[in-house]
Amino acid sequence: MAKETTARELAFRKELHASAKVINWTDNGIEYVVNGRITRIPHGAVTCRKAKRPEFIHNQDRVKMVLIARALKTEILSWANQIMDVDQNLPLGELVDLLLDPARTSAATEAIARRLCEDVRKHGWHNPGDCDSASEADLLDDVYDGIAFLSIRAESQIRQLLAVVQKLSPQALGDEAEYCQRIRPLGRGSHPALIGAN
Amino acid sequence: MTTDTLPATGQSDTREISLTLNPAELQIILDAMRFYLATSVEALTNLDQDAELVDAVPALEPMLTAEAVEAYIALQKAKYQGISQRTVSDAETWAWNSHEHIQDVLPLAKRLMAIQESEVSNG
Repeated sequence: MAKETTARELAFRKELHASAKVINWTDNGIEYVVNGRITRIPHGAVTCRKAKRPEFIHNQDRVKMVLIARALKTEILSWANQIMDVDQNLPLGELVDLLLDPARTSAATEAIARRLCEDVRKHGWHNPGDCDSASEADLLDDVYDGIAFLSIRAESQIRQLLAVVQKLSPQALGDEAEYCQRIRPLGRGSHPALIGAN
Repeated sequence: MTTDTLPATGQSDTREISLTLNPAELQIILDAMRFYLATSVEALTNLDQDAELVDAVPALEPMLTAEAVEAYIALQKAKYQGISQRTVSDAETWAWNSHEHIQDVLPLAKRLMAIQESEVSNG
């Protein structure tokens, strides 16, 4: 129970700071809370799709393939951000290298844990009664428990997305890196009117 | 990695790349496209982050027109005029960037949906 509270707390903080999806793991499925609306997806709804014969996407020019790469990267980043500190501007190829390297993902997770701990030290938990991190060690344990909780779903999603990314040609990854430098990233949370409204 | 220069967005490149996917993988790409569009243009269209792509497309299509973008900007001006000129100006830039983004991504999203629909029809 305490771990669930910690995870919710972490997820809430993540939403505030990084506008990431919030996930609650329940017996009936995973709850996504976005803009105050809750959507529940039953367990296995995505992973249990029946595989049929292969599809072919023909005649995609390079720009279209870059858009597919960018879409996959955006979703990978949204999941990875829940459990580790990831540079939002990494080209897809480098992001894949990062996620496939256990030492680098471990370091990235430690980085976000350190930042969360620092945040809690400065500002306290969102609901102080939800967390009884009496000592520094308790605080670290709570943060790592929360990250571990979030990672169950995130790692599964990232694995599926990476499997598709690895089917993209090296050309597509190279093009995405170039596109990355040329196009200003668009992202949730960066809308100036919303910033102004706050 | 050495690459040739990409054509500008919206332009075609005659050299083609094919991608072979099973339906589960195609669904993963469609979900990613939906998320990509939603995260990029959410503030412009109030698009539901969790809407299926097929439901999101009708909400996005009006934003393909310059008139719709201008109407959005006018709304922002009315809302923020006198509060922050910088905010109005940034919102204008954002709106046109989002418009271009939708122009790039939406046709591909529709094409992918058509492939999926065809697969369902063919059993």
